[in-house]
Parts: sequence; C-alpha cells; structure tokens
Amino acid sequence: MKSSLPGSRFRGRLLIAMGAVMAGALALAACSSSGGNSSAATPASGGKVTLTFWSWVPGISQSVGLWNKTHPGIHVNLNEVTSGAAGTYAKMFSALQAGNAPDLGQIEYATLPNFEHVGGVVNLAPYGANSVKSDFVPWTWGQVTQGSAVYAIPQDTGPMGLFYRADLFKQYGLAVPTTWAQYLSDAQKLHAAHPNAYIAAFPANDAQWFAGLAWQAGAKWFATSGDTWVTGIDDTPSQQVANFWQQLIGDHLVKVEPDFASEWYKDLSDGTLLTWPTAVWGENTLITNAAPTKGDWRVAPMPNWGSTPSNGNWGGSTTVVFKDSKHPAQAAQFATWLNTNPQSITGLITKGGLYPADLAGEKQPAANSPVPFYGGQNIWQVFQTDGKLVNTAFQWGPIMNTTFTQMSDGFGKATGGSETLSQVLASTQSQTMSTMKSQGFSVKSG
Amino acid sequence: MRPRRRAGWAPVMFLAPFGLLFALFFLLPIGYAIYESFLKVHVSGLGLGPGTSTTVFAGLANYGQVFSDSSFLQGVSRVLLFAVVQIPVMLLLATILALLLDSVAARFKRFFRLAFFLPYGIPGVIAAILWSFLYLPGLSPVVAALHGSGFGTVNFLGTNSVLWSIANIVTWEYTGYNMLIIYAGLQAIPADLYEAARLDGASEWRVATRIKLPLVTSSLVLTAVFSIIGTLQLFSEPQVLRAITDNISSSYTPNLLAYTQAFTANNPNYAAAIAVVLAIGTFILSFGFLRLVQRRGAAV
Repeated sequence: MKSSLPGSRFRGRLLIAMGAVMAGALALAACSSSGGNSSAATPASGGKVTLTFWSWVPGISQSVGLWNKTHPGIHVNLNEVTSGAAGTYAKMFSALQAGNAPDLGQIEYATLPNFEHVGGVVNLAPYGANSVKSDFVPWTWGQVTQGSAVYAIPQDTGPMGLFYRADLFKQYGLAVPTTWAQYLSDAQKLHAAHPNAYIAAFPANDAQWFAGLAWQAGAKWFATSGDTWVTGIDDTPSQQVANFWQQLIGDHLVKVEPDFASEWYKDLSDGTLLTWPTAVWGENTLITNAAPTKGDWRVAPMPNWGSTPSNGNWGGSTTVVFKDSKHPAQAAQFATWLNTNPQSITGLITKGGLYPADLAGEKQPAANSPVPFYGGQNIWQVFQTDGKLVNTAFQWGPIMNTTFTQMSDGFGKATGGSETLSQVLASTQSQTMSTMKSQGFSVKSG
Repeated sequence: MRPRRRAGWAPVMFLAPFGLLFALFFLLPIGYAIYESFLKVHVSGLGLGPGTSTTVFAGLANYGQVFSDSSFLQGVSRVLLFAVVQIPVMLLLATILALLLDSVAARFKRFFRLAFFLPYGIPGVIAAILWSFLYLPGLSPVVAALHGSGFGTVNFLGTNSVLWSIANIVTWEYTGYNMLIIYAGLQAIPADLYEAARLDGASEWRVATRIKLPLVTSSLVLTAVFSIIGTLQLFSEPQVLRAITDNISSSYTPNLLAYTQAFTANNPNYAAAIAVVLAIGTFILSFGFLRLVQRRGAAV
C-alpha cells in the first residue's frame, strides 16, 4: 500500500516492515484496548462536541489546532497514528468490528471501497457533502462516491509525471520521451552504450505503481453494473502496459528491484536509474533520499500511449467519518473544512507535503513555486496541468488490498522468470474474482 | 497408607493466580481463535454501505479452504524443507561449540560463552535488518568481496537462494542459545565419570563421543523440539527481507500467510483457521519427534 505522503515516510521499507511486524501485536492489542481512543464523544458542558480523528499526515496538528481555535463548539482530538498499511487500517477494521472506531479517519482512495464494504464509513451526502463537489479535481469525486452516496472528502492526490536526470539525458544524448515508444528506444540506446545504467527500475513489489500506469493507459479494473461488480484487471490497456514492461524486463533494460529500499535509493543517487515515472509526492522522496543529485532532476509530463495525452494517479487519501460517530454532522463539517479551508490546506501542503485535491489549493504559492532541488523548475505546473488529464472513470474494487497482494506476489514470480506480467494480470483477475465470489460478492468478468 | 490430610481451600488459592492468568491470556484467546475460525463474512450484492455484509457460521469451510490453498501448502513444504536442512546444521554447530567450551583445553570460557550467546540477545527483527545489509548486492561488503575474489556476483536474495539466506540468519541467531542448553547439560555430568575415563586412558575425543554426547541426548532432544516449533512459526526474518527482495511472497511461510490474511486482506476468520491448523501441525510434529526419540531410547 502506498500513500500519497512524501518521501519522509518512505525512507525505508525496512522501517515499514518493522512496523508491520509490530503491527500484529498492536492491532491485537487494539481489539481490547482501543476504548481509550474511541469516540466517547459525549457532549461536554455547554453542548460542546468532542470528535476523535486518526491521521498520519505529518504536521496535520496545525490544521486541527486552527479548527479548534475557530470552532469553539466542536473540539477535535487528533490521534497521530502510523500510516495505514503499517497497521492503522488493521486497527481501524478491528475498532469498527468492536464498535468503538474514532469519529474521523485518514483513508487512501484505493482502500476506501474496502471500508465501504464493511459498512464502516458514513454517507456524507445528507450532511451537504455534494455542495463542495466542484471544489475538487474531478476524478477524486468519482473515487469517493458510489451512486448518490458520498463516503469521503478528498484530501490529496498523486497525479503522475516523469522524473528524469536532465544532466545524464544531455550527457548521453537522449531525448526526453513524450511517448512510451520513445521511452523504449531511449532505454535501448542508453543500455547499449552504458550497460550499467538503466532507464528505470521495475518494482515487482509495488502493484500500486503498476496500477497508476494502467490507469493512465485507460484500464478499468473495477466497475459496477447494477448489483454486480465488473472486474477487468487483465483488460486490453492493462495488458498493453504489462507487455511493455515485460519487454523492458526481458531485454534487461530496466533494473528489477523493490522500490523504497536502500539499494533503490542508492541507484537513484548514483546515476544507475535515469527516470522514475511516479506521482507528484515523489519530489520529496528524491529530495530526501537522493540528496547528492540536487539540481540534476527535472519533471516532464508522463510519456503517452497515443496522440491523446492522458494521466494516471498513484496515492492520495481522503477524510472519512466512521459509522460509530455519535456526531456525524459535526464530523462531516470538520472533514469538509479540513480539505477546503485555504489556511488548513496551506498547513497540509507545507507541513504534510501533500498535493491538495482542492482546485484552489493547487494554486497556492506553497504548491506552485520553483523548487531549488529541481534546478528551479516549477515542477508543480506539470502536475497541475496533467492532474486534469487523470481518467475519471477509474474505480477501485472492494478487496483492493488482496488484489494488490495477489498481483505483487505474481510480479515477484514473473521477474524471477517463471511467468510473464501479462499472465500475472490474468491470474490476479481470476484470483480476485474467486476471492470475491467466496465472500458472497456478485461479480463478473468485464 | 498415608493419612489423608484435609486440603481445604489452600491449594485452590495457591493455584488461582496461575489458573486465572492462564485462562485469561492463554485458553481464552485460543478458544476465541477457534470460535472465529468457524465464522465467515458473507457479502450480498456489491457489498457497499452498511448492512450488506454479515458474519455467518461457516462450519468447516475455512478449514477446507486452508487445505486446498496452494499457497498454504507451498508455505508448509517450504518450512519443512527449511527445517530438515537448517535444524541439523544448527544443532551440529551448537553441539560442537558446547563440546569445545567444555573441553579441558578451552581458554577464556566466560568470554566465548558470552560471545556465542550474544546473537540470541539481539531481537530477530534487528538481526534480519543487520543481515539484509550484508545481502544487498549494491551495499554488501560480502558480495563485493566475493566478486573481487572471482566468485562472480553472488545473489543472496534470488528465487532459490533467499530461503538459505534466511536459514543463515536463523542459525546465527539461535546456535548460541542451543549451545547454552547443551553446555548446561554437559556441566551436569558428574566429574568422576571423566576421572574414571582418564584412568582408563580415554582421549578427549573418546570422552566427548562416548561419555558426553550420550549423556546430553536429552538436551539435544529438547533443543530439537524447540527448533521444530520455531521453524514452523518462521515469520519475522522473511517479513523483514520482503522489503529488499521480490522473491519472498506474502504467503512465503504459513505464519506470513496468516498475517497477510488477518492484517492485509482483513479476513481474520480465515487467518484463525490457518493459525489453528498450524498449531495442531506443530503439536503433532513436536510430540511425534519426542515419541520417536523416546521409543528409540527405550530400545537401546
């Protein structure tokens, strides 16, 4: 699971792994002891309402503090938790089962349907959520709604772009690719002349990265038709992306290695890897983990598959109201304010490193100024323009964590040489469908 | 016949603290896990919104799934292969170290005893992180040294090699611990046996093979049982190494599969069934091994 948060939280997968090892114990403890964190939310004297909010965004306390100062009747208690995949989702699921979940929580887009499916999140439409629809980047609204129900307020996004080593591109005489075909020819040219350099890494562990690329190509992994899920993880656009990377892997033009790992950071720093197609928050990952390359990287729009430019998204999260909240109206009010109030958004950008889902927020100087690390390029404009090209029809499924696990397990086998990426898509499709069927979902292949 | 004394409430009172804690923190969680393993979540339609998923009684459905789950069966055969190779290697090393420490010629015994035992004092997760830096191709001095001395690029994290890299970590961690148990067994051997052997002209080697080894068999059996239990529960080393290699899947060991099901897939019922099957399997293997060696012991 990848969150939209910047590199500071990706400093090492080892740390995440450590967290995961400990998460088991924590989550088990949560079953019995989360009462202390729960939304007791009894109105205090003077009709004051207290809400509990679980979030892992660094520095979000600034925005929460601002709310508490300006809204004396509704007090929000912030509970700073570890990131979702590192244990907080497990804790949230347990708390929902035990009936003592907090009032509000942080949830990534891809995991939201999972929480919808356990009935954990409150429909915010009756509390006026639809009135802020036009404030947000269009595709995000598609991700937080199901029919007429609005299950979350978008917070940040991860539109994708191509981070590349401008110095090495110039030195090696390569052109910045605008199509994936050019990307391939750059890769061939590069590797022929410099056998130790690669156009990029292929992170078999990272199904969410692949999802972003498939999203760009126009994939439709999930859709609903009446009461039935339509699953198309191995649809034509996804196959196209899989075959493309299969060729790069087969010809040894990419380095197969896990991302957000020490070896990968080293490769980004020493010129082994020339590009990283990634989300906007990747800017901070490079600043934090490839510091010696200051001034060498630039950002270009993602290479495209055809003549019509399109984009995908990787990461980003939302604010939800959990079913156990005794004050859903006030909680909905806070969730909306947190993600649309200009001052709150300034805090989220500067302290949390988020790229806002709020359209006005994208224009704030904090998310729209030249960045010294990128040689003074205003990299944000690439994402502001291309964020609008993100396919609005893409939807996540109800057991996305399982789907991602099945896919990355398969990719691991494929890069070991026993399967192809395209076969993995087909097996992930059938495994996801059979898991869903065994749980009672109505599902068909699309 | 000894006169029966009236015990009254005293034994109950003495047993109560243990009994209560045992029930609360051992029996109750196990009972709850077994209960959970008979349930499943049933979803209707799209499964979106409140009330569309309900928890229903599943009978043995989860158990049926465990035994037909190819990733579970692969994980089990993987840890069995691991056990067959790693446990004998580790116990052999531990026995040799213990015998060396116990021999009359040994110097600096206190230092070596501590040094051999030290890895056990390092938490498994930290040990795995330390070793991961020695396995990573671009960072490891070991890989660089092997490359420099003409062995080519050794991949410690490859599809087939990674299991043995894990075995290496586990051996490093637990050899000292097992050595200490065997060493304690050696210390308990009465000194007059050695004296008698020496009077008969036995060499150190003969003393070790004819007196020491037969007398520490019970310690060896104990360490073997502990090792079998530990191996079937293999979790933190592969979980940590997952971060640096694509060749460890989310179901690499049965415990890792249970963890993924509980905390990634949010399917605690299935995870509970896996855990129960694993516990019963471990129980059968450990006690089967005990029975086996006891029977052979009786036959001798």
